[in-house]
Amino acid sequence: MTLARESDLLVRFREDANPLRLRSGSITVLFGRNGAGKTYWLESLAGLHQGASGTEVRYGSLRLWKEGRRGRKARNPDALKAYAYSSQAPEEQLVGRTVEEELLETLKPYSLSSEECKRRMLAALEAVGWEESWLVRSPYRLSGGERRRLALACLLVAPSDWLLLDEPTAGLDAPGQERLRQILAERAAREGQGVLLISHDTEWALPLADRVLLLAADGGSLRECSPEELLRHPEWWEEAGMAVPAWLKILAPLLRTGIPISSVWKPSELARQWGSPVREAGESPPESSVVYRMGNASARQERKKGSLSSIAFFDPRALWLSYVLLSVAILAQQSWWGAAAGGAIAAAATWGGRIPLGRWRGFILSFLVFTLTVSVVAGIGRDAGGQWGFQGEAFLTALHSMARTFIIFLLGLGLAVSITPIRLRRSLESVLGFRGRIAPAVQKFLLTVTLMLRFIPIFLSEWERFNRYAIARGKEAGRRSLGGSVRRLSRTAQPFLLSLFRLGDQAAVALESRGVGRQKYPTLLRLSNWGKRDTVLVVVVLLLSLVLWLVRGLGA
Amino acid sequence: MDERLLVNHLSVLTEDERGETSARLDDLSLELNRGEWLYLVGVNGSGKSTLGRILAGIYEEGAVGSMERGFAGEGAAAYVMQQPDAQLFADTPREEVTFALEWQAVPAEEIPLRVEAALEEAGLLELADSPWAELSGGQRQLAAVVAASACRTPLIVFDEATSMLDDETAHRVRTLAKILHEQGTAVVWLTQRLEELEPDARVVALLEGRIRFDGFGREFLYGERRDDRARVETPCEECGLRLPYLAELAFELYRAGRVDWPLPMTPEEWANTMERGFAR
Repeated sequence: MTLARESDLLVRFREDANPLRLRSGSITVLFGRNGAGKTYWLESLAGLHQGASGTEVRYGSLRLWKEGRRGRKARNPDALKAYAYSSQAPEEQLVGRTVEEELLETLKPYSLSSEECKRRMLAALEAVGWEESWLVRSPYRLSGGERRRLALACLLVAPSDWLLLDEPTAGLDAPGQERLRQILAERAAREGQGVLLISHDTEWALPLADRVLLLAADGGSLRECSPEELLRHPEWWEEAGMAVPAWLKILAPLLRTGIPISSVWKPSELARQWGSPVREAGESPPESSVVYRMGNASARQERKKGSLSSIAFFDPRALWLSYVLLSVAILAQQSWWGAAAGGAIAAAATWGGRIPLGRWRGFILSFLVFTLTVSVVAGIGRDAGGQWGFQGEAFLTALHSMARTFIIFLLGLGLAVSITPIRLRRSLESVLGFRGRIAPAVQKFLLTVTLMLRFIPIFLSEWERFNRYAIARGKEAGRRSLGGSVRRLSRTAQPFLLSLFRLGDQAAVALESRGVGRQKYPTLLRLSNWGKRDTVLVVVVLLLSLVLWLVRGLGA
Repeated sequence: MDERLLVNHLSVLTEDERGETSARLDDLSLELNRGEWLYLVGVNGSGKSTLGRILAGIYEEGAVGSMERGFAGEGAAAYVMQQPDAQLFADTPREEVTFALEWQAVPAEEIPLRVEAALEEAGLLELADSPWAELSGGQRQLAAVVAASACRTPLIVFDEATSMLDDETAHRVRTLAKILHEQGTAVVWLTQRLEELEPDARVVALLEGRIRFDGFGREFLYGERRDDRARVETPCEECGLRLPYLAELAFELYRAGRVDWPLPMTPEEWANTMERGFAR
């Protein structure tokens, strides 16, 4: 551990404001209501999100984000190395074939000597109560509890100044919780590491805390205080949108009698003071509670909104018909003008229909790159004279046809994103159903397709989640080498696939318990009727396509 | 005819990649009455989730032994999990409940009204047409409960359904479960939150795939009635669970001779205890 330098964790929410300082060698606990953004905030401190603009995070003198080339922000790898991160259910991220590999994976970014690695590994194993012989074990043959313990060893093995933990006691048994408490207390007191942890387990976390942070329900402000002050001010829980913990509510009359706050953590002492005459509450010590305005509440609100596109109000059948008409017309375009017109229509539809394509940016970009690559490859060939070289003409022809495909792809993606899968299923059913029934095989097929579509956004966010954890563990900065990308991919893909299996298993159980598939002929609901606006949409699109079709040869 | 749900000498065996078998449930027997409320507790890996699934009538690979479904009837019962996202198949609460009723072959013309009524009961009517992203985790969990119980099943199993929720939303999910229970549904409530237990409700605690305790909530926390002012290991601790802070305090008060059996457990009992403590 490099304790020579100053290693407090500093968070400045606005340029002119005093920073929040979390001291190394102390334990800080973050409480907050569900959905207030605790995890998001902790991930921002780990550099896994950019966080709100104007917020600056420093580990000692190391800034988390650096201005890179062209003014882009890039993660500072040295700052990333200043912390070790443990997500909720950290055992999901294990990727090694042996315990040793797993620990080395965490140590890799630190480039330590092999003796130092060995020393650290043995110390980490000892901390979780294991011996050297565990190094050769396979993580896949460990029980759930043992995998959790290995994940804890991975957190402890890194030579970092800070330990960031998200709900570390969730799912731990009582001995495991006690072990974790001892380890964290020792790490802070003896080795001077700073600990920041999220918890909803107040009984476990409050006695351990040196400082407490309360995140407001809207994620817009943060109160910093001591645990004793929090005990004296139960209203602070409510101000942060949380219920006062039941045990604290029950103790409240006792605390008002002037009993020393420190005895709350020692039930035997508390029991001895029971029923003793009410004392005048003595001078209460000066308060040091500070509320920080974070100013990113509105940004968080926006993150949540805007998921419903305005074209969802049309009948899915009208939308599909419009899509087919437009696609035919765009594909028929022979000139660049026509392709440009198609592109303009696609852009207008996306913008006007408020179709949330931003989420798919990466996917769209890779398709664009693919389009260009194919065109360039198509352009390489012999010219009329038999000479090898780059043929501008062939390139443009290929690009023209690829561009039209790209436009149609964009429109189709927009359509798929904005029609909710279950509406799609219902519209297909109403087309394919006969006398209120639908053939079981078709029904099964439709259900499968709808469920796949329904879960794609979840797959996407799972992928993003494991990708963030891979950054936290691999300590990569922004731009990465090919090797770095491959490593991150493998660190992400394996836990992602396992998580898909779990999701699939849970979804299957949920479907079974709902009785899906038990009835041969489930009820067929009719869609709400085809409305006037649907007719208007189809007519307008039909006219537009006709015009496009008529001018398809112009200028070619 | 016996209408109890009976699990007889049931084991669930898993074989790992080396071909070694281990038992997730080990020769376990249990009975559940119609309309009963049962708390099922235990640490992770104790087998409580497996038992929860078995009780819900969901197929479990490697299960040997027998079970009589009794009042629960054939087919799977309603089952609500920890993570709402994996058990929601539509995009809004209204669509979700509609989807559930469709598969129960409820006549088409009845569906909209029944959906409306179910959502109203859960206090979700205002959010009926909001996409999931605009609902909190707790609201999504409520929607999952409504969809799972949309057909008034005789049995519903909650598998740590409140462990990801804060106290307030957890309370709403529980209230909904209580409503179902009052209407005659048997409820199996799996939890790690011991403060949810009630003194006079049945608690079954598992350890390593076996039932370690089957009795009332107060006995689970404090053990059997005793008069020697001693602090002994309680069934709760024997199962690897941490004794809640208040229970610890109750024991200390008992040792110091300040309170007597039965030790306080509910907020009301604690309020009485506190009052007596200061009346002296």
